[in-house]
Amino acid sequence: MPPLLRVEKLQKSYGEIRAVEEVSFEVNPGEILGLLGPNGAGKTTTIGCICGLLEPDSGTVDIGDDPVASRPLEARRKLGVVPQDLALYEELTVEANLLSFGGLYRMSSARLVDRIKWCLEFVQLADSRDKRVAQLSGGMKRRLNLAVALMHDPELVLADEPTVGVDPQSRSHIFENMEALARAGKAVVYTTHYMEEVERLCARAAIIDRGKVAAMDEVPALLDLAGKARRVRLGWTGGIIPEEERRKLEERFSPSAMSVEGAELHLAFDGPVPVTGMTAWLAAEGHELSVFSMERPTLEDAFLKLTGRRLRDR
Amino acid sequence: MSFFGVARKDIRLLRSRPRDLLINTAVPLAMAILFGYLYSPKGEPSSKIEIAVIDLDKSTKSQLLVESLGAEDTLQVEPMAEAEARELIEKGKLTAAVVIPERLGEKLNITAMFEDERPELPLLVDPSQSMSFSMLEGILTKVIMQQLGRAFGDRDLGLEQLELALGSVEQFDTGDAQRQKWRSFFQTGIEALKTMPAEETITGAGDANAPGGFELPVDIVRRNVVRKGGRFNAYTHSFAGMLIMFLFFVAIDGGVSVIDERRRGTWRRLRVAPIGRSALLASKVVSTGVQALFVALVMFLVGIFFFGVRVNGSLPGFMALLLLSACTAATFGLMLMGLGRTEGQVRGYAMFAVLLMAFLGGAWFPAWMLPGWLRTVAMGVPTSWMMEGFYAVTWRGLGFSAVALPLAALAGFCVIFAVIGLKTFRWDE
Repeated sequence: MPPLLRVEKLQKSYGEIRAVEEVSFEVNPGEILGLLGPNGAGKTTTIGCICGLLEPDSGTVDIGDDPVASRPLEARRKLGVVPQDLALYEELTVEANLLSFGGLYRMSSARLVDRIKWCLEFVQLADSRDKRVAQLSGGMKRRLNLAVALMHDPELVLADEPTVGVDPQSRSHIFENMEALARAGKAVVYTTHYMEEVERLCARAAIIDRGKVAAMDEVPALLDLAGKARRVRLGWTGGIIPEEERRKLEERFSPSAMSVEGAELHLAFDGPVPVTGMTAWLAAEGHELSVFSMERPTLEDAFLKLTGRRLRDR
Repeated sequence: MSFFGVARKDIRLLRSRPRDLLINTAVPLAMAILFGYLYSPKGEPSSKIEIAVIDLDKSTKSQLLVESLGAEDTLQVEPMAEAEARELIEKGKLTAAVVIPERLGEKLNITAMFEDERPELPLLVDPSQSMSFSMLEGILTKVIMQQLGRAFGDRDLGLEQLELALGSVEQFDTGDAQRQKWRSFFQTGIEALKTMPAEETITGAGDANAPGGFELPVDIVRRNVVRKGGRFNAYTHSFAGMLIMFLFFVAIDGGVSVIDERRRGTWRRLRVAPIGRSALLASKVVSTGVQALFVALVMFLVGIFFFGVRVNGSLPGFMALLLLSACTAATFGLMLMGLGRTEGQVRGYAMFAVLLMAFLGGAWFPAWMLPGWLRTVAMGVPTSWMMEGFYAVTWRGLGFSAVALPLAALAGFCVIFAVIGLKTFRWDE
């Protein structure tokens, strides 16, 4: 099946600043592609170029068979955008918002009614259809923000950090919605700086930093970039342990890496983690722990390894 | 105290928006200065009433009357034929015309002041300028009484007038006792004039308001001049004026709407919809135009059904004027969409512009009250043309040709506003 979105060598600068540089990727129907990067990495600029809000300096964007540059209206008909900020008319009702935005896509009245019903059920806002947006909770507004983008049943959905500032319940709703869209054969581009979201939702992801794609692969392959090592986080009730004690710990259990992160000591193990031995030793030495956790490598680690920086450095 | 903290914060925020601060102070200042200038007394009157004089008498007295009117500071007098004067008044190009009937000079003497049937002095007026009628009536009274007074400055003329009056006392409709008083008054005057040196003048010939007192020797008769079928209604002015001002308020809302959409984030949604840029902008202009048209229709319908406003002239002209006025407002909104950066900025500047245009265009009070130079300046604002057009096709009862020029002018404004709007509109966020 041909890709629904094809981005090739996309480049966009603002004056001297290169916001997007040689970005290329494809998204297939039924796939959720994660665009993972810190704020200012170029994710929103990329989305802007895909939906035609920004004119790229070079490169091409095709949605299905339609190049955005030469057939923008045809391309946009296949596209639903979930903007990062809420884009709703607060003084109108939920239904009126759906009607207002759906009306931009040349649908018959009957089709509009059907789509409103479907969208309200999809985002679980059917009971709130007559409420004014101003009366909704933040999470409900986020879900409506998604519903508006789906009114014309787009083939490609661009979700630009759709869970910013939402409560866990609404976030879970949105995840379920994204997964349902993918199951329905839609192609989804999901930008975020939350690695957990990419790990939960996406089969593939592109790690973007400073306008460039640092890596793009299946999520497990990206996790492999961080190495196989498992990490153990230790925190002490009385603050970080002295350097002498840390050296003893290192000599006794031979971690592949050890670092102090704030008030915690992080140890990495390539092989099995000596949990029992380590807890027994720490107890025997009289250490009182407030944190003891074991973690597998994350995309955060992969990002750190690829860029030398943390996802939330900026 | 948190009270002062909040106040300090607000002042700090206001200082961060010097433009808003400037607008909030500059607009009322500018309006105050403008009105102050217009209403302040000056050496030269700020506005002269343009009138025509139709002298059908052509006597020495009538010529003297024309000269006296011409010498008035507040009048700009031009001799004219009656038909021409009527035509100009009908079109709103002339305020009034004084018709001096044949043989008025003969009848303009002291005896006329005591007669029931005095000669008429027709005053042709534009009914929309009723204030000018009152002013003209006062000026004419003054001029005529001065002319009669001059007779007493001349010993022989004074004697002639008093003897004429003495001879007519029997015809005074004032009762015997009063007639006897007048007879005695005139005889005393005659004797006094005969014995007085020529340079002295009799003044204070009695209280004009007292019963049996004498009157102005002519009846100034008001005659409204409108095209056949036309009929003045003061509500026509107020409805047209307020409509025009509020059309532009609608335009301000239209201009702000794009800024508002940008702030809400909905502009981005509109832009990613399958709508071309020109169509998107055109839809904004059309929605402003439709709102403006709606306001115009409601205003006129209320005026027509409840306040006697009538379209006495060309109905197609009226409809075309409504349409083009709405278009002018809509393209004015487009210009604001292009020029405006923040809502406060647009509202501030545009409000000033609209109030100024309403003032210059005669939306608040008739434009003839403005000084001549300001009336020339007013040609440069669309409101003047709207007012002129609405006057022509409503109470003046004029045909389509009378609104052709206003329509052309409004079309020109539409083009200018649209070009500025399109050239300055920013598509980037």
